[in-house]
Amino acid sequence: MIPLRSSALLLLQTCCLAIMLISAGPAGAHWSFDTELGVNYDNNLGNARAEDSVGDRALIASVAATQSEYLEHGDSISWGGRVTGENYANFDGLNNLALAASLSYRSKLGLGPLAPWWRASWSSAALGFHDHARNGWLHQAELGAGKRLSERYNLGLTLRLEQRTATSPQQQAPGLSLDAFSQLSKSIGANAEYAADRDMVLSLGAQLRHGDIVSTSHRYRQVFLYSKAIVEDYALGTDVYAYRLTGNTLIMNVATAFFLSPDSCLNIAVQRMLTHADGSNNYAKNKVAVSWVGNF
Amino acid sequence: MLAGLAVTASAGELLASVRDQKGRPVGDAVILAMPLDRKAFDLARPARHVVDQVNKEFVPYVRVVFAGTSVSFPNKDNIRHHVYSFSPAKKFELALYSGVSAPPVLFDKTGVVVLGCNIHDWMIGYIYVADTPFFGKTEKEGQAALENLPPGDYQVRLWHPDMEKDDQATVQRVTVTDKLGNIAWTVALKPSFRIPRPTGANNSGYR
Repeated sequence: MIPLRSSALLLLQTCCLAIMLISAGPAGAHWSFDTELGVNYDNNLGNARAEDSVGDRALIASVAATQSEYLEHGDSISWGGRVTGENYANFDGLNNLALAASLSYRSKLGLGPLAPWWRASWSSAALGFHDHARNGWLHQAELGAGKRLSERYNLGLTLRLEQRTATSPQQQAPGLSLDAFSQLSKSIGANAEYAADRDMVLSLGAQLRHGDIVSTSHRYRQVFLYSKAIVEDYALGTDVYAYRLTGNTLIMNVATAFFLSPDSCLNIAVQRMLTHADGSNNYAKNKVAVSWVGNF
Repeated sequence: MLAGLAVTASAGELLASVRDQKGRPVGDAVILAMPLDRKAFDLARPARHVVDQVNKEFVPYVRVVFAGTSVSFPNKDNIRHHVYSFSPAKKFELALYSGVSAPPVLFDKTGVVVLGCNIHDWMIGYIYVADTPFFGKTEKEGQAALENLPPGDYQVRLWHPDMEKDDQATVQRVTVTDKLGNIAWTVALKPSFRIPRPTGANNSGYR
């Protein structure tokens, strides 16, 4: 479980943010709320070699409030907050509560559903884990663009810069960084959607990510030699270490959304991630997620 | 339903029934009765119609009007809409507005007008601008009653947004008397696709 103090603090921050956002919005701006409940399964939580990989399932719940102001020519500016909680079945140290704020500007280059669009967005999230070593901030800056080809086909591209900073990295040992959970990465992704019928949308996506990755495993010389930071990772067991490495990750997604009503849907997503890190430290992981999303 | 018509002493009624290729009732089908004697048109009066925007959808999905009719587009949502049409029968744009601030739009050219909202791409609606004041639209049970029809001979045809064939291929000739008449169609419909609403899913978590 999340420690009481950090949970209460995050809850207080959430309430303050919600009150601030609700009261700060210009007249005519529109609030929308969405909530998500789901379960994830990750077969390689530590991004480790096959012999060290451990899997677990997690319940995930998320509530978001977004305010949008629509401008002329289909442009819009949106800002909001999201609270997300994850609770793992076996690895309690990974349980987390995140409070995120986001801002985005979207511009449509024409009139109608087939007009191309682009979007610039930023988000920052405060992350509170049961295992405090993972606590920190996640900042994301994203540029996206897309074009709907018809009622059935939709395409999108995304460029993302992501920085994760640990709020309280362990004290540095001489010549060795213990700040294994701070990461910087950039990625490019493409996504295609296909409406199989009126109530079902299939999507296929691929993303190429370059930058820091964290791999948790037992001591291996080959990993040690190429790691930029190392710290004991109590969340995933005893005598295992989180290594920060540089690598490339190919992420492939297949997802299906079943629309249950105009304002709710059931999502099923499968993700495969293949990482090639320096020193031929290569990892594979699969994730499956099932969730219900409701919009208000 | 024959809005905008004066009732005559000896008017007829036509009950139309529409089913698809699988025998299911077809709602939102437009039934158009064209009198061979156009004097009946003298009975038509100018009318005003409304297409609402409710819960980010056009309501009704299909509206039939006689050419020369003005249509208002009140926005009943708590968010602004930007209604437009590219259709040759009527090109127009009502830029961002809320409430009833948008002026009515005159539909004076016959044909199908496809409506959209530039903010909410999934919103779609149709206005069928009819060349006759005698029309109706089926309910979800697939039936429509055309009332107050002046007796005489008519060419009756059908239109639906998902119909595979042109509406001229559906023409039937009917003689309307002061008794209830019936007319029925079985039409082939294409699968209907709509742009989905955004799901808001963010199930990746933060670990």
